[in-house]
Amino acid sequence: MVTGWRIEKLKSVPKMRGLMFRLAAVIFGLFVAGATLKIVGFSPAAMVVQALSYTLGTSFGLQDLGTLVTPLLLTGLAAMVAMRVNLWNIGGEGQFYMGAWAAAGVGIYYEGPALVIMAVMFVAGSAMGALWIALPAYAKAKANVDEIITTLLMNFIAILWVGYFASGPWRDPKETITASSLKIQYALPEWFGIWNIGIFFVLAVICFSWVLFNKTVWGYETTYVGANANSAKYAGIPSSRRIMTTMLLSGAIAGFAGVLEVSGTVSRLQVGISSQFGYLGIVIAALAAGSHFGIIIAAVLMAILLNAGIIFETHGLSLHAVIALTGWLLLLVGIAQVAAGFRLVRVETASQTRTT
Amino acid sequence: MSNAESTVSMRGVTKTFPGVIANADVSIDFHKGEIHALLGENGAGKSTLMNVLTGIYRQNGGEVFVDGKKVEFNKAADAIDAGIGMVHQHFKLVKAFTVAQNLHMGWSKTPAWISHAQLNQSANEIAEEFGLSINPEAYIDELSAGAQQRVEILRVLARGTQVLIVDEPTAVLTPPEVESLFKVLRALKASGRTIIFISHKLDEVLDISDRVTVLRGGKVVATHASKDMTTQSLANLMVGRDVLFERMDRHHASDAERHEVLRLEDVSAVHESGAAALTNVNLSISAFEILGVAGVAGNGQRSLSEVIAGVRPVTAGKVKINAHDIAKLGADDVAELGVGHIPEDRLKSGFAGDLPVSANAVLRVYREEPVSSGIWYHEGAAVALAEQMVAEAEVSTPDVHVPLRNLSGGNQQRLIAKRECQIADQLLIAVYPMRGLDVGAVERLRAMIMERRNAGAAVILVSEELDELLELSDRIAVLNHGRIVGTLDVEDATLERIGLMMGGEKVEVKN
Repeated sequence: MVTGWRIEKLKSVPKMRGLMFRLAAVIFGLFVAGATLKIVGFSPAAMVVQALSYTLGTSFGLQDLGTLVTPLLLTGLAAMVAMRVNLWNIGGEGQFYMGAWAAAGVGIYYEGPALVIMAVMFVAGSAMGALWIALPAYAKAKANVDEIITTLLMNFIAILWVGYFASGPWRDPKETITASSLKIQYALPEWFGIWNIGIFFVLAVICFSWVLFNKTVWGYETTYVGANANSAKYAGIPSSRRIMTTMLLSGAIAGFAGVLEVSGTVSRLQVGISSQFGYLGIVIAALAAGSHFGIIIAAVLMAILLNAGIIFETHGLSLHAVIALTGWLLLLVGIAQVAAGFRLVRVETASQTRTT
Repeated sequence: MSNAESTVSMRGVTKTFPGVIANADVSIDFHKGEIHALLGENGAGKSTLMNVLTGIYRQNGGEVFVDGKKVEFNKAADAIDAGIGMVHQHFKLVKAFTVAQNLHMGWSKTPAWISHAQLNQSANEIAEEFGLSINPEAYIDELSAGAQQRVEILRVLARGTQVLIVDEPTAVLTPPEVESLFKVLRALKASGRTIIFISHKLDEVLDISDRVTVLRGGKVVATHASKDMTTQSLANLMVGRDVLFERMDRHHASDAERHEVLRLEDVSAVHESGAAALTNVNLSISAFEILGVAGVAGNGQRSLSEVIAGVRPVTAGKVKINAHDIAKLGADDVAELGVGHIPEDRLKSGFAGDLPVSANAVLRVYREEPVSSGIWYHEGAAVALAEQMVAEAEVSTPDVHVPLRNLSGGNQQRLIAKRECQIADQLLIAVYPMRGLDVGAVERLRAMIMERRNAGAAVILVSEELDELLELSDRIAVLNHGRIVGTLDVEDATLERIGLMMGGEKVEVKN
C-alpha cells in the first residue's frame, strides 16, 4: 500500500481562503517577475525601493498615484458590478472614452455657471457610458448574445469615434504634437494641491454602489439573480430587467470615470485618453472578487504598479513589460481563484502490482 | 476463516476517509443462491462497502474472501475477474450506441474486428443464455428505463458474474417493470448466483430478498431472514428508534369547507424545445385535499407544477386559483395568492447555493416587513427570520451565514419545505419532495405536507413512490406523456391499477 494525493472539490470557498489564495498568487507573480528581471540583468530590489519611495514618499509621486487611482477605482467598480450578475463588461474602455467625449463636448461648447456646466458634464458622460453598453446589454437580455464579444467590439468604435473628434472637428489648432481637442474651461478644484476633489466623488460612487447592493431590495434581488437566475425565475424576480439595469449601471460608472479624466486630470479630449484604464479595471475587479473594499485595495496596488512602471522606464525597461506583468498577475489570480475551490488530501491507494 | 457456504465473505472491513469513518468493522456473508438486501439510510455506508467489494476503494482494514479464498482487489477489473459485477443506479451505457455495441464494449472477449451481423448474433446468444429478451439493433436512447436496465444486467452477466450487485434498481421503473426485474433476479438466484440488492424501499426488500443486512452509521446493525421482518421493524433498525408509520391523521372537512382552490381547464404547454409538455389537462383540487400525481418521471410532472406556479406559460387553456385566472401573473404574483412551490431540483430552481442560508430562507418574504421596508432590505431582520425558520424546521447548520450549498440534501429540503409551506395558505405544489431523503427526513416532510392539508390548503404532491402517494393522497391523478390518464379516489386505487395507468392504459374514471 502506498500513499498518494488526491484533489478534492470543496462545496464552497470561504471568503478568507479565496483572499489568501489570490494574495499568494500576486506575491508569487511579483516574485517570478523580479527573478526574471534579475536574470536579464536588472536589479529588481533597488528598482522596487526606488519606485516605492518615489511613489509614496514624494508629492509628485503621490500626485501621479492619484491620477492613476481615480480612474482605476471606477473602471474596477464598473467591471465588478457587471460580475455581480455573472457578466463580463469588457467595454469599460469604450464607455470611458464615450463618457469623456460627451463631457468634453459639453465643456467645450457650452458656457454657464461652472457648477451647472460641471453637473451637466457628469450627467452627460455617465449617460453616454450607459448608452454605450445599452446595445450589448439588450442583446444579452433578449437573445443571450455573448456580452464579452459585443462589449469588446464597442470599444473599437468608441476609440475611433473619439480619435475622429479629437483630430478633426474639435481639434485645437495650436496643439501640434498630439491630436487633442480644445481646452475645457471647467475643471474640478484641487485638493491640497496634489489631488483634485474627484477622488471624493469616486469614493461616494463606491459607497453608493455598496449601499445599493447590500442594503436595498433591488440589491438583494440582483445578487440573487447573479447567483442563480433560474431560481430567481421561480421566485418571480424579473432577471432580464435586473441584469439590464446592472449593465447600464456598469456602463455609467465607466462613463463617469471618463468625465473625471477630462474634467480633472487632462482637461482635453485626446486620442488614447484612457491609457487602458477600462481593461485594467477588469484585472482590478478580478483581484477584488466581488468586494467593494477589495476594489480600493486592488486599484491602489495597480496604481503603484503602473507608477513603478514609469520609474522602471528610466532603467530601460519598456512600459509594455509592466502591462505584460498585469496580464501575468491576472492569469495567476484566475488560476488561484479556481484552485481555492479544491484541496489536496492525502489518501492511501492500492499499490500498482497485483498481490493476489 | 471464511464460511464455506459463502460466495463472498467480508470480515471486519473498515474504510475511512480523512475525518470520516465510512465503514467500521463490517462483517457480512453473502451466500450462494440468495438475494441479500443491503438496507440503510443515505450515508449509512452502503455505497462505500460496495465500492470496496468492486475494487474501486481499497479497505483500510479487514479482509474479503471469494469462494473461501482471500482476495485483494487493486482495481475494478480485479473484482470483475473474481466474478463480482455491479449494476449502477445510473446506467453506464453509451446512449448513441446500439444494445449489441454496449454489450461488447470494453470487453476483452470482443474480437478486435467484428461485423455488425456477428455483433448482433453474439448479443442474441448472450440474451438467450440468460433468458432476457433484448433487441440488439436498438439504440439505447430509444429504450425505456426497464429495457436499458436489462442491457446493463446482461452486460454485467456476460462477463461471468457470479455475484451481482444491483444498486437502487427500481428507482426508475414502473410497477410492471419492477415485477419483471424481480422475475429476472429470482431466476438468477435459482441458477446459483448471489444477488446483493441495495435499496431503501422497505416493501421491496421484504418482497424480493431472502436475508437483509441493515447498515447504520457505517456499521452492521443486524442481519436477519427477511421473512422474520416487517416494514416497521426494518425502519426501526435503519433509523435506530421507533418510526411512526401509520396513515396520518387527517381532518375530515365538511362540504362547505371543501371549496375548489385550483382548476385547470384544457391546459396545454410546451417545452423550450417546442415539443408538447402537457396536452389538454383538466384538474380540480379543493381545500383540505391532497392530490397525488403519479407517473414515470419525465411525463409532464415538472411542466404541470411550473404551469400552476406561474413559471411556465400555457399555450392553451386556463389555470385558475380561487377563480383567479393566472395567465397574466408572474411567479411572484402567484405566490402572493398563497401558493407555495417545492420544485423538483432544489439547487437549480429552489435555491442560490452560493448565497448564505439567510438570503435563501427569505426568498418568499423579502418584499415584506420586517425583511424590507420600501426600497430598503434589512439584513439583520433576514438573519433573524432565517434563524427562526431553521430552528422550527430543525435544519442542522452551524449558522445562517454559511453558503446554502454546504447543507446536506435533507437539510436543504427541510428548509425549502418550511419556506414554501409558510406562504402556502391556499395551495402547496410539492414535486418529488421526498426524493433521495432518508427515513427521518421523509417523516418530517410528510408531517409538514399533511399539516398544510389539515390547515385547509389544497396540495399537489408529485411522487414516484406509489406507497407514499397511497398513504398521503386523497385522490391520485396519473400522468402519461403530458396527459392525465385518469383520476382515482385513493380508496379505489391499487398499485396494479395505477401501474397500468402509468403505462398509459385508460381506466374508467370514477366520479
